Amino acid sequence: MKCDEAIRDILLESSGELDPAQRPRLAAHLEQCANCRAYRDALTRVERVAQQDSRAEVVASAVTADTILTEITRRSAIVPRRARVAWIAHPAWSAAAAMVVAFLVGFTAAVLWAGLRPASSPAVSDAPSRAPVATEVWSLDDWMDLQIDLLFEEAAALARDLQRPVERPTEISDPRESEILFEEATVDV
Amino acid sequence: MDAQERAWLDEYRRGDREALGKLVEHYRRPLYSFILKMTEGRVDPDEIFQEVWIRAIRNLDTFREENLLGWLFRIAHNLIIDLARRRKLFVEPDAATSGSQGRSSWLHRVPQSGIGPATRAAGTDLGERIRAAIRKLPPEQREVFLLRTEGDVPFKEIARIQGVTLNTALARMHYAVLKLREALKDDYEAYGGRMK
Repeated sequence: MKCDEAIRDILLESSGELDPAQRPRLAAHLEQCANCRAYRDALTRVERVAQQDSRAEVVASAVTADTILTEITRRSAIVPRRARVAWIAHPAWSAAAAMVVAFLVGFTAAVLWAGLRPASSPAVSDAPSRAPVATEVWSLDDWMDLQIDLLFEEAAALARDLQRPVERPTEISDPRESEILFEEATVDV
Repeated sequence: MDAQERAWLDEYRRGDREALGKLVEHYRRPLYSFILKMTEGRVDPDEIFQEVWIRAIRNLDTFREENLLGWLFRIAHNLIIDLARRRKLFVEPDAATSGSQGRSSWLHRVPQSGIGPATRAAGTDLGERIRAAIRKLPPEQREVFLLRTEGDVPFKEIARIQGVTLNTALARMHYAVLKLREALKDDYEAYGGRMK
């Protein structure tokens, strides 16, 4: 055994990590090598002095289990704030969240607009029984059905008007009066 | 970890706060002393000591190892390195004792403010002599030596803590012993030992 190997084994032996099978080999080397014996003695001595000095120290620590647990509790109280900061700190997450929110807002607005639009149009005023309540949200299918119904109703009304004979004034004494009638007729149509 | 330490750990996991107090007291001296001597009083050792326990308790569910003290030392090691990296000040190491290895060492990024209360309160002239010699060791060697003497941490665990091979950890201990032997030469000869 070389001295380098012996020193490695001396160190491992001091920590209890030397393979028991290697001990006889180390012991045989130590019997022959004064330098390695001196190294082993120095290791033992240095470690002992350091350990004795350490045990003589007054450890002036004020930390106890209570202070540790109190600090853990205090930090736990501010975890949600950290979570928000972490969320903001990730631009990709923030961008994705903004896109989802924008989509949802846009979709909701489109549906609401589509549902409320018939209530403000003149056609719906002709069909009060079908007009949606302002707070009611219609589906797109319902809105499409209503538009088709209104279209048929308008077509039927137009057909009736075409079949009806035109009523003309038989006597116009005042030209201004005829204008008023004409204006009224225009408004009716 | 002996049976008593394991029992305290199990009791705390079942909700017994007093068991945690026993563990903290049981490991206080080796852990606190290690922190104090690694940071040389440059920071408040209580802060690091408390932070080690906080991180340990928060991750206790994941702890499946045999050596709780070794785990605590590993947390302390990482905390001290993080602290050194965050500090802006750079303290030049003692060129006579550190060599090129110490010059780029992480620990020297921690500003020095003096020696801590425990060190000042301690012991004998021989004790002061070995403390001074330990302080002059390059941080990597000092850490190996302190882990061995303060915590009786096996070399395999030390290698794991430092992220090096077993042979590197052994070599660091070897060089630390050679330097400390030289520093204690006069005392040792008076004691009657051989210092060859």
